[in-house]
Amino acid sequence: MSKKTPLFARHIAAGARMVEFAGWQMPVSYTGINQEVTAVRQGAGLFDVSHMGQLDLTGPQSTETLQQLLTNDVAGVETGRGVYSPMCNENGGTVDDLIAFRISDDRWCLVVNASRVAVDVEWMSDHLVGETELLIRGSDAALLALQGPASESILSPCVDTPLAALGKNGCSTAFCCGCPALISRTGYTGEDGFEVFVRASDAGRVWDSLTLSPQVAPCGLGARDVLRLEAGLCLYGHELTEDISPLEAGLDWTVKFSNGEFIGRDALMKVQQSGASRRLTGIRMTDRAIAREGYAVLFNGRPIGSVTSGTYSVTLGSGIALALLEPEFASPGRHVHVSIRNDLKEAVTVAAPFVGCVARPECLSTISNKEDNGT
Amino acid sequence: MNIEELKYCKSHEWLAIDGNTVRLGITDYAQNELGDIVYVELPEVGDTLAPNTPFGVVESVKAVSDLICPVGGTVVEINANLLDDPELANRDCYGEGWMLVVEISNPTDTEDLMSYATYQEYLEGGAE
Repeated sequence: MSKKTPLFARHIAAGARMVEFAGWQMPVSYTGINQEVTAVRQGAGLFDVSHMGQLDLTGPQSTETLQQLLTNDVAGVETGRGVYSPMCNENGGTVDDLIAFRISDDRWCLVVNASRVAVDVEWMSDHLVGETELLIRGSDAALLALQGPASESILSPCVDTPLAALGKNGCSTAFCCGCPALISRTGYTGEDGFEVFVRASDAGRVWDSLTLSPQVAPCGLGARDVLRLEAGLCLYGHELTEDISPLEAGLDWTVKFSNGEFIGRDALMKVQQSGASRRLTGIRMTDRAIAREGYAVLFNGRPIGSVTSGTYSVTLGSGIALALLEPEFASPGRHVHVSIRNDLKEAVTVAAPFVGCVARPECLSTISNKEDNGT
Repeated sequence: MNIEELKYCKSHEWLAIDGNTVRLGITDYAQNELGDIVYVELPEVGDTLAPNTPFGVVESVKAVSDLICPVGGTVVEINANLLDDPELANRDCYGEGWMLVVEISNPTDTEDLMSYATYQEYLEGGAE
């Protein structure tokens, strides 16, 4: 029996098409994926992402614990900030990718992939330093994501904290629609936006208030997947797995060798020195076709890698994909083929993100692509 | 198009039989299940289709689905508009979103097709 988020009844009432995802009944779309993608790029979209795992890590050595577990630097993260990081195994493969918010000196809130909660908890429990405690926030926790360029103006009147002061990846406790919440300026769409952590019993009230705005479109997992692909963001199980290292997935900026010891450091150092044997690359179809996960990528008839995720980008009007390719093809402008149903379709390698706020000049001054949340 | 006069098959294509030709498209159930259709691949005029064998592909944002013609024959017409505007199959699946016209080679192929009423029962029974 799959789990339901506190907003399940609202999804059904809104006529959402539901799917099972990582053991949860989740909305895949309401009005149509393309319409929802466009809403987020042009205005705002509201996502129920209550299926995401939320973990609390507390204790005087919680930061030390995280520094061991994660490849990115956490010690330098101030209270009220979040950091995106892979969590690696000893071989440098990826156990999960997550965002860690520093709530106080000795407390962290981690947002992990729904499909990895059990694995993460087991892995982390085995590597807790000192008196550190790990707690899973269960069915009493909900998470809503408001994403798109209009997000700040829509959310601002609903909260008692100035959102303009909240920088990318910043987080703050606040009252949202009268409910106690943690609000972060994070997301998974490549647009500006916020994630609102509330109690399950308050989720409906926040959802109802935000969807009152005619600018806000309820969005499902279908749009979320297109948006994150357009933004060139990794999805666990596709671009990252226990056999794919962050260095292969193009997440070099999240691996801080200068931090001292962390799990997987030695293996990743070797990869760094010898060079990864494959690199994640953006691919844009030039033929009218859609590359899908698992399809082979060829150069002059020779296989050079395979697609990890592919979809149709309504924003670009073409097929886009991420693929793990031999490193010499991991640069923009290489003309390659994707094998689609025994037919070779033309494509060109491009630098991700394909689209998104990060690609807009007016956003570059305040927002760095490199700080995006990949969970 | 009166959809109650059409014939249907389990893979959710509709067929309008007119003498020895048949016009084919996907049903409202199919287009709704697929969601936004972004790409359609059709055979060429003159191609021969074997019964119940995939002849083309329809892709939505999320999924790839084979198109199946329950009758064998020769393709005499394809809907070229659909290649440029695949969403026609969402907007008007029984009209402007038709896919092809086939000249039937074996009339008995049409005998097992479902009526409108039978297809509705099939849908209500949890069609796949």
